Amino acid sequence: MTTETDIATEEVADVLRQLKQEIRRQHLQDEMECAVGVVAALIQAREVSQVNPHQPIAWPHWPEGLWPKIVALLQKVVRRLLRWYINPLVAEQNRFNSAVVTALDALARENARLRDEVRMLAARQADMATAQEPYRIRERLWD
Amino acid sequence: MSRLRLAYFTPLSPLRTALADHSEGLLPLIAQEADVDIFIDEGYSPSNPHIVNCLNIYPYREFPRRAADYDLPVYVMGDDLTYHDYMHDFMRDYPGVVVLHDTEFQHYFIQRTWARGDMAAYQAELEWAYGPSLADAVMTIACAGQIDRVRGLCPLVERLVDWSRGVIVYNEYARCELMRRCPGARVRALKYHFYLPEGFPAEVDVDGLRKRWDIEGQFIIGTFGLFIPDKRIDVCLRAFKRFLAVRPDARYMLIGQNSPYYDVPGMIRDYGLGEYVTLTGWMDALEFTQHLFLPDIVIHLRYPHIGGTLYTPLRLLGLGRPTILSDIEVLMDLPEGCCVKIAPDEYEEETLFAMLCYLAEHPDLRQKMGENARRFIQEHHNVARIARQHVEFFEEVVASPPKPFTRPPSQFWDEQLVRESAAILARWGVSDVDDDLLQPIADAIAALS
Amino acid sequence: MSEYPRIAVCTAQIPFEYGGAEIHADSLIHELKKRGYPVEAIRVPFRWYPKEEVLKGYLSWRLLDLTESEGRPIDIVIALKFPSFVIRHPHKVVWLVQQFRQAYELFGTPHSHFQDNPYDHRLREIIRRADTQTLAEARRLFTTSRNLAGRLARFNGLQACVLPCPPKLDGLYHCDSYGDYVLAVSRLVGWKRNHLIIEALAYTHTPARLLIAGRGPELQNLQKLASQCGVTDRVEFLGFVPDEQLLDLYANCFAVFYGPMDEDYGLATIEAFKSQKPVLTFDDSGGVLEYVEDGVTGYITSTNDLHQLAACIDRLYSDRGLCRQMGMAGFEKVQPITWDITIAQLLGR
Repeated sequence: MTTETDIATEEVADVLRQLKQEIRRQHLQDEMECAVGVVAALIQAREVSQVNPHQPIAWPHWPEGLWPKIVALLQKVVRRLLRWYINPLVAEQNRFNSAVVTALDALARENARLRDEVRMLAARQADMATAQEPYRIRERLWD
Repeated sequence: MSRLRLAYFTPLSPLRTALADHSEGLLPLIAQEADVDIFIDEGYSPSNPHIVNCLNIYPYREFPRRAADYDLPVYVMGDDLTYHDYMHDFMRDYPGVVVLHDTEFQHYFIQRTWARGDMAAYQAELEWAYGPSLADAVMTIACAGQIDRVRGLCPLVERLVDWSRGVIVYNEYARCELMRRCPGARVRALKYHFYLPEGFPAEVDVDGLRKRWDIEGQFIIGTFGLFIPDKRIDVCLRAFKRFLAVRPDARYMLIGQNSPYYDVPGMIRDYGLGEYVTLTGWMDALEFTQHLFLPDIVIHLRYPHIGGTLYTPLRLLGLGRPTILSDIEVLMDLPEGCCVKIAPDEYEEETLFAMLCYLAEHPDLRQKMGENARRFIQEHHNVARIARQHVEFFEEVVASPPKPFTRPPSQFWDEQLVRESAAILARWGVSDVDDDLLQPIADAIAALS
Repeated sequence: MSEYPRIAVCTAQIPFEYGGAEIHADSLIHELKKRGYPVEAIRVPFRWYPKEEVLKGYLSWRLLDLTESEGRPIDIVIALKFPSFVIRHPHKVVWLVQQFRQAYELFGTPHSHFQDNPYDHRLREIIRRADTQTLAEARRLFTTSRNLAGRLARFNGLQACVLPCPPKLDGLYHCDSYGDYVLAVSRLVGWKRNHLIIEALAYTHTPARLLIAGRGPELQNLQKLASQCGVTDRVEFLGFVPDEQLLDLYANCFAVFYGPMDEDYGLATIEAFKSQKPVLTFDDSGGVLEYVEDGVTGYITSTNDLHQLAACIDRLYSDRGLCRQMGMAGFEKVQPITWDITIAQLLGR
């Protein structure tokens, strides 16, 4: 006969099972978001990693009014005159940005490789419990 | 009990897919225990006489008219859209058992949606499976042409599992992965069966084969199948080149078809191995299987993998061929006494070279490995038993109500509390094996209801 | 946000216990109300034993929703003591007065009930991760002492600003005289180490007395110790002392003893300096040492040499001018610790 205690125990076991299932699901979601998010962020970073020293002035349209036009013209002249100073700075920054994005990308790939390795080791560990003993050869190939 | 009536959706020969070979080995035995009709794609005529003569084969368009005649549809699914597109909508409209040969379907869905001009459909698939924010991240990666970087993370297998009433996979790793992603699904891991194609001779004329390829008296290394980047032919070629210095009489046979995306002929040229390496091209199943006896040592590397059991290694081991395999999760079930496994790490080439040298020097070890392999496959990959297990699973599915794994938002406050608590605890590092920690919380939640 | 945002002050409450952390919370609530802020105290009981209760306590706070009440938003949440800072809120401010020390630096000492076994290691790691994640959510993260800020950085990788807690009776402390007694104010528990001042008293050459204000489980042990050391006539246990009497006690002592083991803050130190009295402490007392400077605002001695402590007591007893000088130096140090400044910092104004 099913007692109240049995029912209560079953309910707790049911909640525990659901908790574990949800925790597994959440871990999986977190793992995916982290790994995928990193790759997506790196791709976006690479897209914007190069700074353009030539910012548009009065383009594609000149501003309304005479004075704003004069100001825009002066800005264009100043921009041209300062090229010798600005362009090397931007080039240096771009080299740095490229190097950083490349390094981060390499780290992300290495992280992915390590993640695969951990998964492999976990699977191997789980498998060791059910090793097919009769088929293990005595002679170790690397002895 | 009356016999089960099955509608089997599968590619068949002469289509150049191992799944055709696999189905053709299994179906005649399944047909001994259940009534099987096969539904195929248009545009080809099945060429296996044993299948053609023994089983009814229909074009897939006839299925809706005949659907009521069957207890259960069975869909043999792989990741190549070319062979499986025709059954996609049926999986949705006529839920059945999905036999998954792979667990990675990103390329399948990209081919099915985006490659046909429907990027929104691809995004919708991602959102359904992973939610909007993860979908956006994957879209960014896919648009940059780097979708392979998230292989294994977002496989898009969830939809296929959700449609199904049950799933069959062929290795324990695939089963665990699916259970992780689709906790409520009914998934069974069966063994890949070993069988030989119809008409396989009792004795293979190995000398004749060697004569045909002009490799008599040589020490032969072989690799089989479809040559794609995951087969790591570049690693094999470099290891072989070093091996040549040890065994100048060695030759390398690449027996199978080259993928257009992988320039194996170019690699052979670049490594200066034109005289020592032969790329045979595609062969039919019978000829291919006979060639498995050609090499003295077989290399079959695969990394990364897409969750499916590798069919060719099963055949090699079943025939007692000494084989070097990648040490990957999907081959975990094969014990090391039957083969040599090497890890796909930074020492892979070095290890492969060392193994080739060692095995070349120890023919007795090669023989022992082969015997072990043959015995293991005979015992654990028996086709009759595996066919029976398939039918048993089909019967179980038919007898049970459908079990969808995607749950709608909960209407029950206690389930909501469980979900919210679990989300919090998971973020803090609590895992599903922390029973001691979870028990008091489960007690408290259960006491509330 | 309005000029007077609605504020919820969150703290964990150990039922029937009232110590520094509880005084801290009550003082903050009182001072906020005094300044016109609508404020509510949110106290949830917390039990750290058996260990299985810890995670439940954390989860309880995390499941709470304090974003609004009766349809009106709660603008700011100020969390004080673990595990209340685990609460979710878009404008969370943490003014950390206590972490779960047993899981951190007290692990491996007799004061921690965590053992060296896999279960306890798991739980400690989960606590650490939960603390780190939830503290990092705070818009502003303060601790009451550099000691605690250092632990946060070491164990949780988080940077916090030090915001000392003004004492409850700030503005009322005063100095009347430098009498003939050393005052000790604390809960009577082992790690407050009141037993050491009792032992040291036995080594003094002057008739200095010791008054101990506070309650706790160690009372009987301390009384027994006083008898064993032969100083019963010079040690007085006052028990719980009302605020007015406490102010007087501070006002008329010649020094204050406060030598706990690696204390996070040490409100008694601030109270002593606000009353212009020097402080006697130990070199491992933690947060107290941020204020006490040896020979300047008090004396720092070693627990291994109680004769040293006794000599300091004698020195101060014999030289009331020195007491005044050190007391004034301490007073200068704590002058900026006021509720006006503290509340402005907490509310980001």
